[in-house]
Amino acid sequence: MSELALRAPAFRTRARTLTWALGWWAGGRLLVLATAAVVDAVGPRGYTGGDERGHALGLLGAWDGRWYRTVAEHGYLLEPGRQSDPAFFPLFPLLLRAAHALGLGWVAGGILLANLSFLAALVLFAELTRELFDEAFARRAVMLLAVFPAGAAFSLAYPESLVLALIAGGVVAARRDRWLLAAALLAAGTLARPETAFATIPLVPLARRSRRGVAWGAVAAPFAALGSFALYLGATLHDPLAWTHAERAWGRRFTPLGLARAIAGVPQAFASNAWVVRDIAYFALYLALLALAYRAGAPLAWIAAGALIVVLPTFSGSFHSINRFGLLAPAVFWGLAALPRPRVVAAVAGCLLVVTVATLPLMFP
Amino acid sequence: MRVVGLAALVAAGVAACAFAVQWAALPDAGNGNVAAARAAVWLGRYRETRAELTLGGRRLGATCYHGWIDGRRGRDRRGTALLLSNGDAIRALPPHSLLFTGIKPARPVAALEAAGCTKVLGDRLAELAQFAGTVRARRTRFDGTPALAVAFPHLTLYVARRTDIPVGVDTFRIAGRFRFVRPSPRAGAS
Repeated sequence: MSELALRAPAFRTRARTLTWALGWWAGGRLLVLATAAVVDAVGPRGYTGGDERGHALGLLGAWDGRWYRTVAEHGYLLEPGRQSDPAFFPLFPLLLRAAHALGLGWVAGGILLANLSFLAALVLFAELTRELFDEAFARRAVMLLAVFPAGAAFSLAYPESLVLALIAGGVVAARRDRWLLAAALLAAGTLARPETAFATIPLVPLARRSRRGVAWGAVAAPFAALGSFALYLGATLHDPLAWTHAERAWGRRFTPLGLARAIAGVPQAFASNAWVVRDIAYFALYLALLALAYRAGAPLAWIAAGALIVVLPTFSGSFHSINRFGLLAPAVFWGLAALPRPRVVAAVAGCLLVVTVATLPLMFP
Repeated sequence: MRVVGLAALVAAGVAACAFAVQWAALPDAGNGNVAAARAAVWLGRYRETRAELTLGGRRLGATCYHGWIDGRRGRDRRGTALLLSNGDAIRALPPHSLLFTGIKPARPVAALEAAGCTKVLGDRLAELAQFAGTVRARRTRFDGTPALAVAFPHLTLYVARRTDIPVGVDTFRIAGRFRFVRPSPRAGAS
């Protein structure tokens, strides 16, 4: 049999997975965009700003999207003791600037960027899952990722979809021994969200096996990127830690007892904003799904990375936005794919996705 | 050793490229935005100002205080009180209440800002610095001393040239010059 004939089924399988990912991306995003348009037409607008109200999908550019636009338009400005934009990492604003240079508006560019990145994330996540599990499991995981309720954030002008694509792409590249590409993708991911650095945990066994300097360079790349951001903040704002100082104005301060602080502060957090229940529920759900993923055969390194992505933010003393942070842990979706009756799960998740988008004007994701 | 060297080379290359991209592609904040942000920091260190306002063509002396003030029904509340030399007063109680003694001015919040009320003006400047777009500072003289003028939409801020200490505000046809009275206890900590 020729090599071409041997490759043909693999190609067909990959093409089918690609089509599957494309279909679920289109279906899931249609739900999100249609709901956002309906909310824009008839829903509350309390927290949307003027530039967002001028856009039918402006709801998707609200909340942190405004901060990313501020960085893209005007650069970083640290305001000690107040909420300011160095808390937001630079890759998404850099790409926003590129999209704007191509003629797109700031809000439209952010939304388009996020949604196209999510398509790339689904394809690369499918590829990664197929390599670690099998074809059927990969399809289930892609389907559930596409309609996951907290995944509404993948359509907002936020960097989460981009980061998931870069994490999955970086590890897939490393598994194929393309270490320089892996280094570039993971470094880029870290410049969008620092959690990308946890993707180096599954990379360590691969680097050890490869025994090449470039492989260890890829493991170090996210930390080098993090250093470059600190260097940039030092050069422009004279404060290399401006990122963490700005985070404090959001009530986030990392301490060893941060998780205990977060738990002890739940009654007070609930009294000021009952939505914290949502974040705690997602926190518990993510941990349960990581346990399921482990039972389904996910490598321990991925479970450890996922656990760090989910648990570490709580050491800042708050459960807020855990629903969004957990989206960057691929193992969560492997746990979801291990649940029985995946189509029923997908249907329920799809309904909750619509509810999540509809409640976006009330609470940040 | 070769493995470590190559790994370090890759990491250094990544750091250098990432820094270069950020340096080349991200804009710098305007010097007016920076001056306003620094002025907001100064305002956060004080709680009382003495001001001279030009309100509706009249010149009035004013004192503005942020802290515990008389609220509704005689209860003490955290807020801002502006006392004018003609006996009128404006009290701002968070989140959105304004109480008046005497004649209600057309734009009470603008009067609080022009008088340099530390909390009110500090919050406003912080928001303008972050979200009002890139603003350049212009060299000028204010009250006979060198100053920078930062013109945001509907509000022009004057700061001392080297220190960025706020000295005056011009907003909605209310002009004010002010000076801080005494530092708050937090001043030493910040």
